[in-house]
Amino acid sequence: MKTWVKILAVSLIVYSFIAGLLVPLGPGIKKVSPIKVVAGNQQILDIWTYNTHYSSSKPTVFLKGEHDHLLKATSVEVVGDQKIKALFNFPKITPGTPGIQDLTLVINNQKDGNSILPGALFLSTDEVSASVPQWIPLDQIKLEKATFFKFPYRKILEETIRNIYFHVSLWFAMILLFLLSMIRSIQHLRVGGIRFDQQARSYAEVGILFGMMGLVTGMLWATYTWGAPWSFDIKQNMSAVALLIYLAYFVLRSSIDDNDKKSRIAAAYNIFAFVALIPLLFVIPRLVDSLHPGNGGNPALGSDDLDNTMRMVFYPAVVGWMLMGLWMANLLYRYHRVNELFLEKANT
Amino acid sequence: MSDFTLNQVLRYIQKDWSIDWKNKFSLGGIILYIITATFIVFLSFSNIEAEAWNSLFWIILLFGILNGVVKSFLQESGRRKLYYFQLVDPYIVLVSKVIYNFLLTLLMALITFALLSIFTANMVDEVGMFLGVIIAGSLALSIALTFISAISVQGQQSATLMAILGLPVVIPIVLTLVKLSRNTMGLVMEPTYKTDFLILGAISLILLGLSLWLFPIIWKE
Repeated sequence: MKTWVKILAVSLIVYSFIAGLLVPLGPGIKKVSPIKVVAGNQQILDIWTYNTHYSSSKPTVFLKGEHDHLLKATSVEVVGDQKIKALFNFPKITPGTPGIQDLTLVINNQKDGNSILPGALFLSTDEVSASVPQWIPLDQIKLEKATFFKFPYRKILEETIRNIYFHVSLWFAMILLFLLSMIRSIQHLRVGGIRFDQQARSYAEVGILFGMMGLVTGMLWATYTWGAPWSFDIKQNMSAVALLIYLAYFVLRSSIDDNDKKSRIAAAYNIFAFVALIPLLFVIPRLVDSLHPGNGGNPALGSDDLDNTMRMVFYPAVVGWMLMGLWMANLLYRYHRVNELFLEKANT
Repeated sequence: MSDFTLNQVLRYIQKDWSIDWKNKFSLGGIILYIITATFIVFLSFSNIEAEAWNSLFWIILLFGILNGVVKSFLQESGRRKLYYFQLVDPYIVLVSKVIYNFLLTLLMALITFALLSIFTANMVDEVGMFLGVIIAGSLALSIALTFISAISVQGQQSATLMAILGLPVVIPIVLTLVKLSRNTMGLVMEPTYKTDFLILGAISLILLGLSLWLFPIIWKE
C-alpha cells in the first residue's frame, strides 16, 4: 500500500473528528408557547432557542403564513441569549384560506442569521383577503444571512447530528470491506491460491470490526433520539443478524482443519453470506415500519439532514474510513501471511 | 451424462427415499421430534393466541427442518460419496437433494399444522392460502438449508455448524413467512400477499442460483 494513501486515510479521519466535533450547531428554535392564536387578538409569544446570541445582536421575529406573507412582531423583548418574548398584533383579516392556518416562525438577526420553526403556531381566522397591509410579502423583506460555518439545527437530533460522520461512514466502509472480501473469495475459487483466501479473511475481519463499531455508534445515537439503545427496530435486528452471519463465517473456518479444504468451503460460504446480507440490510427493513432513516418511508441523506456544510465533513469521513479499513485489512493480511510462513518453516 | 437428466434426478430421489425407508429411525425421529415439540407447546400454553400460534408453528417447523436437512449429506460419506461423485453430475445431486428436502419439509409442515390444529385450535382463516404459504416456505427453506448442510458436513460437529450457519441465513425467509401466515389468520388489516410472495421468490431464486454455482466446488471436496 502506498504511503500517501495511509497519510490520506489518517488525515481525512483526523479532519472529520476535528471538524465534526468542533464546528458549532446553527441557531434553532426549541419551543414556542402558546401554540394557538386567534386572528384579531394581541398575543405575547414565549420563544426558547438554541445556540443564539440575542443579547449581543437584537433579533427581528416574523410569522410566515400562506402565500409567503409575513407578519412582523410589534415588539421583541430579549430575556436572555436563548430566550425572547415577542408581541404580535394579529389583524382581523388574514391572507390565504379561512379556517386554521399553519404559521412558520422565523427569527432573524445579524449574528446568527435565520432560525426557522415550521408549523410553530396555529392561527384560526374567519375573514380572508388577498392582501392585508400588515402581512408583508416575502420578497419585500430583507433577511440577514449568517456567514459562519455551522451544522444545521434539527429538532430531536440536535447535537447528535454529528454522529452521521461516524455511524454512517463506518457502515459504508463495512459494506465496501465485505464486498471486497466476497470478490477475493470469487477470485480464490476461480484462480486458486491461498493468498486470495487470506485476503478475503482479512477483509471480513476488519469488516466485522467496523460493523460492530457501526452498531455501537448507532446504539449510542438511538439512546438520544429514539429513547433507548435497542428498541428492536427491524433495522437494528437485521444488522445484528448480518453480523451473526459473518461471525458464523469464522466459526466455519475454525471448524475445518485441512487448509485447502477450509479455504474453498469458507470462500463458498463467504459469497453466500454476502448475498444473504443484501436482503437483510437493504430489502427487508424497507418493507416494514422502521424508525431508521431510509426505511419504512423515512427519507435518508436528503437535503434536510445533510446540508452542504455537512457534506464537506461527511464525504471525507466516508473516504477516510474506507481507506483506513483497506489499510487495516492489508496489515492483517500480512500478519496472517507471516504467521503461516513461520509455521511452514517450523514444520520443516 | 448419458442418461436422461430428469430420470437421473428421479432415481437419485428414489435412492434417498429407499435409504431413509430402510433405517426408519431417521425419518421417524424427526416426526417424533415434531410431535413432542407440539405436545410441549400444547401443555405449556393453556390458552394460545393466534399470534403465538403462528410463531410457534414456524419455530417448531424450523428446528424440525434443521434436524431433517442436516442428515441429507451426512449419510453420503467416505466411499459411498466417491461412488456418487463419479456416477452423477453435481447439479443433479443438488437438485434432487433440494426436491427431496422440499418434500420432507412439506410433510413436516403438514404434520405440524395438523397436530397444532388438533391439540390447540385451528387459527387459520384462509386454509388454502396458508397451504400455499407452507408450500412456498418449504421450497425456500429447503433451498437455503440444503446448501448450508452441504457446507456444514465438511466441518466437525455438523449439527452445531448447521444451526450456526443456517439460522442467520434463513431469518429473512422465516420473517417473510411469519408475515405471510399472519395475513391468512386475519391479523393484518391489509393483506400484502403479492409483495411478500415476490420477496420469497426472489430470495429463493438468488439462493438457488448461488447454490448451483457454488455446490460443485463443495461437492468436489
